[in-house]
Amino acid sequence: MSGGVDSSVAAAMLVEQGFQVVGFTLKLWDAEDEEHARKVCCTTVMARDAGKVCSLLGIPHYTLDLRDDFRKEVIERFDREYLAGRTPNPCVHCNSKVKWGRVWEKVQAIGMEWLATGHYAQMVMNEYGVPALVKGVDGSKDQSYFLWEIPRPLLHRTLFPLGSFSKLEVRDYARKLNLPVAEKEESQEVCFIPRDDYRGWLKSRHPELEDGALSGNVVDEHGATIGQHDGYPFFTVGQRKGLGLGGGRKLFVTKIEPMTHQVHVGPEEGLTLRQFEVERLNLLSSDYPFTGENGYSVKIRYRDVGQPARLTLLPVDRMLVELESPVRSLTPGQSAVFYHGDDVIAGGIIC
Amino acid sequence: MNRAKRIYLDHSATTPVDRRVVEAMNEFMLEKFGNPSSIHAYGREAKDALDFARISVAKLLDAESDDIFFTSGGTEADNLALIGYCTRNRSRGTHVIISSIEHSAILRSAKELEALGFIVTRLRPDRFGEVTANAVEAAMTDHTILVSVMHANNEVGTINDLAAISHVAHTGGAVFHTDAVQSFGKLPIFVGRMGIDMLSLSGHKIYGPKGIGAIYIKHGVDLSPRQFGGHQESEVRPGTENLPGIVGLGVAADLCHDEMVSEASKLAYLRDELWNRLQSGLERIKLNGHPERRMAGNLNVTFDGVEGEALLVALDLEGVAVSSGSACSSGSTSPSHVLTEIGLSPQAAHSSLRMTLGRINSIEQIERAANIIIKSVIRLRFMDRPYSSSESSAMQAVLA
Repeated sequence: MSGGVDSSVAAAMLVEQGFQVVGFTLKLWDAEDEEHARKVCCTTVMARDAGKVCSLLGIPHYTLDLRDDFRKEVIERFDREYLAGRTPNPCVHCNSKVKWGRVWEKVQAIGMEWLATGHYAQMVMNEYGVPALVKGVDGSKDQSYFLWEIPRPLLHRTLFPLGSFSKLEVRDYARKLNLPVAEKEESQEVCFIPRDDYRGWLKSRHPELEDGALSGNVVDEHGATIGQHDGYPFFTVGQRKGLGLGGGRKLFVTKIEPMTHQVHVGPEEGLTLRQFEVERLNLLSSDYPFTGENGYSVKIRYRDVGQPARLTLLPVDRMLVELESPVRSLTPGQSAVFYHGDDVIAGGIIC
Repeated sequence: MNRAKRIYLDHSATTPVDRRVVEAMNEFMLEKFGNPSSIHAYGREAKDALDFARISVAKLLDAESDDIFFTSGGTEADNLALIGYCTRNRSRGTHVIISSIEHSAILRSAKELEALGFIVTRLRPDRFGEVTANAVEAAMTDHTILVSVMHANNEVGTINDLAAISHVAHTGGAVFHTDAVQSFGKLPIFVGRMGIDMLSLSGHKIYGPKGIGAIYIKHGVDLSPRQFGGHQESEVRPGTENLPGIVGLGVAADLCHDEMVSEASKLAYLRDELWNRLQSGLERIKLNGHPERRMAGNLNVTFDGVEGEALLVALDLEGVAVSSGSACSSGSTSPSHVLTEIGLSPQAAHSSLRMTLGRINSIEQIERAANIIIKSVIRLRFMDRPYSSSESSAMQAVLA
């Protein structure tokens, strides 16, 4: 529980449904300053709010200190990905490695049978009792994109009480219960990065970036060097602003090569792709044959509406994705999540 | 968890207020509510109660009642002793000796003294948690003006030999203070024979109310007050007296005086019973603190292979209230400084729990608590692992 509206209402709904609920707040990292701490979830300040909500609901509340796990599984991986020229989704790994990882290990050991969160997604049982991860009913809030990496054996231990409600209904519910959090602002940024400045974050943690050790050439689509950059981890494929190339043509980052430190740029056409591969595939269902079938779609970023695609399973834990119409800016390191209708059937990392 | 079925094993954190104490306090809130400084009948009866309470506290210390000054609790008394004494006696020297396993009220006051220019030596205890007179003697310098060593440790319960330590302090020309918050009312204390110059105590550890404590200051020991106001408490601690609290502390002290011996033997029996049961039900557990010279109700145990934080939560959900070596709920992962100072690894310190028994515990509760603790430890040892490990899923099946 973050102390925010969503997890608070999720807990309240479960209490109402008759579950014996225990609230846990995760201490994941130390805020660099008070301002940063106030803005985002998962800090001591928010644990206090979660504690208040739990006492209002009459349920126990504890803080779990998972700073070590979060540092190893999320923060260090985040840095590593950028240094490898990719653009990670830390929230995905926080869910799979921390929440449906260490948190589950800990809470099931103390006797908890279910893990519930305030995510906007649904867990639906089919007629054989097999659970399926399904998009949240509120399309504008659906968070299933961030949940693809949940280990499949844990689906049947997972509850998403908010999945069939809209954000408006959830806020109303909070108001009706007089939960003190009803009017709280939402947090959208990567929680542990102060002021949403990931470049500043990387610099402060990796002195080699300040020294220019990862600087290199900016190369155009013909292979000609057209400028210098001060470190390839500061770039993201698809990025247009901040290239430092002045006026002239509209250029985008098309590729990052960590080995040579080269940042490739080109016109928008150079970004469009019809076919790509996904690695670290996590299958959430065995009901779909993929290869040769129609009716699948893929989201290549959180706000993506979804692209119709043909999917082919490859060895090992990879998927070949052929899009019906090309997309712009496919970013290596980001998650690709596969849907059949509203069902989340798999996900992986874009190569 | 149904309140009636809960088991409270955290008496070193705080105690319930004895009904007899509450009744006495009620009288001084509802009827005899006067201000002890007033001249009229209301004031006089309040003043009388104040004097009686002072005598009750003094009796438990074998002290003169004029040397007892009421404070808001142990923390204030500790601050007054360390900062009040040192700032007043700076001209005599600037060196202070404390132990490294003191309560944070002493540790933080010592830090404040350092900010004021004093030099603080923090003595490490031996592996049982005892601070020896030899160690104090070795640390004494010509500039040492104050030695402060706690009587009984709040986490492992080890009892220090105050007479020996004060002798060393006095020989070196220093005064001796002790934080007796854990031992007051539970162990015999004779300030004269034990050479104690200042002593801190608290009400809520002895079935009295929270927010009341006292400091014993031997006649002739001079210190600067930390706050200023009226003439109350000889201006050592001005401010209208917390009379209901003081009356409560007085009655609680009287009860301790009458029941100390029988209570200590009952608690030691229950404590040993709990330890014996845990030992017969569990492997890889270890007792922390001194095997004999420790508080009757204290049991500090390392459960190898179990995270103390998780065990604490599991026990709480089963209605058993204990405390963990680490201050997890306050958001700190640093393990208990007491346990690491007596030589436990950070990992072992993280795997430790403190159970402190008290007046309200019965043998039935101890039996039940032991069973719950054994069950929870076994469960955690097998299940707090990656869900995918085959051993754990096999164990899950067994436990289910």
